[in-house]
Amino acid sequence: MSGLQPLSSLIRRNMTAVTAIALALSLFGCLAIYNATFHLAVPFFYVGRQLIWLLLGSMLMLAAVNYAARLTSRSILTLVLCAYLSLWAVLRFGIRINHMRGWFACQGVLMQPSELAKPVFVLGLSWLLKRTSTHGTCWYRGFLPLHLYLLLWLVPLALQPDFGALLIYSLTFAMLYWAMGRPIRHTAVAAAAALPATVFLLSLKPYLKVRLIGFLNPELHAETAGWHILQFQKTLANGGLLGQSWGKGLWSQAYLPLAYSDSMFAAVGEALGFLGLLPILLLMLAWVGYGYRRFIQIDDDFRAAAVLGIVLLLACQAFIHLSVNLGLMPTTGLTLPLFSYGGSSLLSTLAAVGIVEGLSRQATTS
Amino acid sequence: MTDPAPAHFLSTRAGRCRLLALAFALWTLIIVLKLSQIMILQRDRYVAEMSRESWREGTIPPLRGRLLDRNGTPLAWSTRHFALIYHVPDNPALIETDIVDLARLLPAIRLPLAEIRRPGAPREIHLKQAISPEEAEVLGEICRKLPRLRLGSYFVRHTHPNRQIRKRLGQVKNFRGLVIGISGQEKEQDHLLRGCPGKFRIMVDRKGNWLPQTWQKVRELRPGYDVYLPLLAENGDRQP
Repeated sequence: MSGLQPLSSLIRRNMTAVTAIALALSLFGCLAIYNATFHLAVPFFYVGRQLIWLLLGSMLMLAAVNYAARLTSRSILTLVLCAYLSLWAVLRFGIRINHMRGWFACQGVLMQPSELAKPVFVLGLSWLLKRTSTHGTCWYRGFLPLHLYLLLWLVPLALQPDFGALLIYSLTFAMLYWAMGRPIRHTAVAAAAALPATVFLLSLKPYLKVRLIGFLNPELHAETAGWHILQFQKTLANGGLLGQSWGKGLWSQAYLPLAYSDSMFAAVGEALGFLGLLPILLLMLAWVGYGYRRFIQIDDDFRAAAVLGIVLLLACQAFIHLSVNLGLMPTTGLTLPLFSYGGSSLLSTLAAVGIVEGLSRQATTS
Repeated sequence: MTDPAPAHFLSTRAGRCRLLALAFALWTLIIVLKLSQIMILQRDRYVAEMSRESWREGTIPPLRGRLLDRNGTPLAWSTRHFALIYHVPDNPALIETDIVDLARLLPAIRLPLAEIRRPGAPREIHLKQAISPEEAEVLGEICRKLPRLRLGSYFVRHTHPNRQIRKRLGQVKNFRGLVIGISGQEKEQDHLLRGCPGKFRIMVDRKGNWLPQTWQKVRELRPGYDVYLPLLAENGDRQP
């Protein structure tokens, strides 16, 4: 019994309303994963694994709440270095799935470093934003180091190639950079410079062009490039106003690819219907509102940037996932945080929520 | 002393953050509008399209009625058997791919390649007949891997061994899964013996596999009636 005392003390001290909601949503995600996979030959394969990840993720989240306030420059730089090197290491030692070399595989367990590195990327960026805050408008001391930092992270992601993560990292960077009071002209110049790079990438990877064509006119390419987008829409349409109920979403079982990960929102929509999806949308918006409230309460630049950066990162990922599932954006392989299947994604998201809570709590206490 | 001009709200971090939050609120609104368009306003169109794409109709052949003599001795009767049926696709390229798959999945069965490849060949080819329940279990798994392969049933018409009686009963023929009489009493009493086939609809996945939980009966099957003939089995063709 005495062995359980540190654990119960960790839970008691670090469980907040936000961490409790995150855990509840993760459990709901497990239910959604089961709903999308119960018809497979091994119905508990995905949900069983996700529950194990959830257990580990909960511990990680509570530990993050506890230790986030004690982060030093040294520990942040160590974390950044480890996460960054893992992005290069996966190119050498990782395995290739769906044309992407982005996973380490060990005894059947897959780890995706680009997912795990997300909160670390924001911590590093926030640290750099604080260090350069006195030279915010300077091109040489304000603009260059931060954009070099971003570029360094994007190179291994583009080589994998993990364009979903690349998009999230870039968007989070642009929004946080601007929100921290940096000149808008910096962002404009960076965006203008990114345009030819994007065109170059499109020409380099023909499948990206195909996805774009499918997105622009899915009905014209219903059997090829537009097929996935049409299945998203049909799955959602099948849900209607009130949904088909759990386990009765036939379209997501029979036609929707990756209903347990990249197409999770559509699969949940089929089960819960339009009215069932609205609370999920409201929760996502409430998360952004929570980030805003915390941001204006915190005086310290590093903590304010880290909290806002992580909130924006998770919000961006969730909103892009939804937009892709609705056909508002071209298809990208992005999971819905806390809901979709994926150990790395769940660990990273729960750790990120823990960091936000830890840093916010420090601000409130101080 | 004049008060300093109030800072533009975008020049403060809180103002910029508020604008970001507003952008997300707008994004949410767009998502809600698009959701309502797909899930409510245009739902009927999508559902009609889905129904056309994914639901298939099929018939369940009825058991043909028996021909009996006046004492009730069966003179002609049908039994149901199960077969492994290959549905020949229209596309010749698909046929060639299927032949490779069939040879891989069913190494023990000698494929009637000439018949499968022959233009104008029947759309359904029985690869193996009279399948036992044990065999059906194994073959059912294989059918899941190749959707044009199905386990289906067929009827065999048995008749009385007496040659004279058989001549009088006439003959039957399989036509699109239905047994019809083409001569003799089988033809004469066909409207009673034939019965009425049942109809079902079922959803198929992208590969064409049936989703068993979606099976729906559209029309009830009615087996054929038994017909008593005014003759005696032991008397052959002699009238009573």
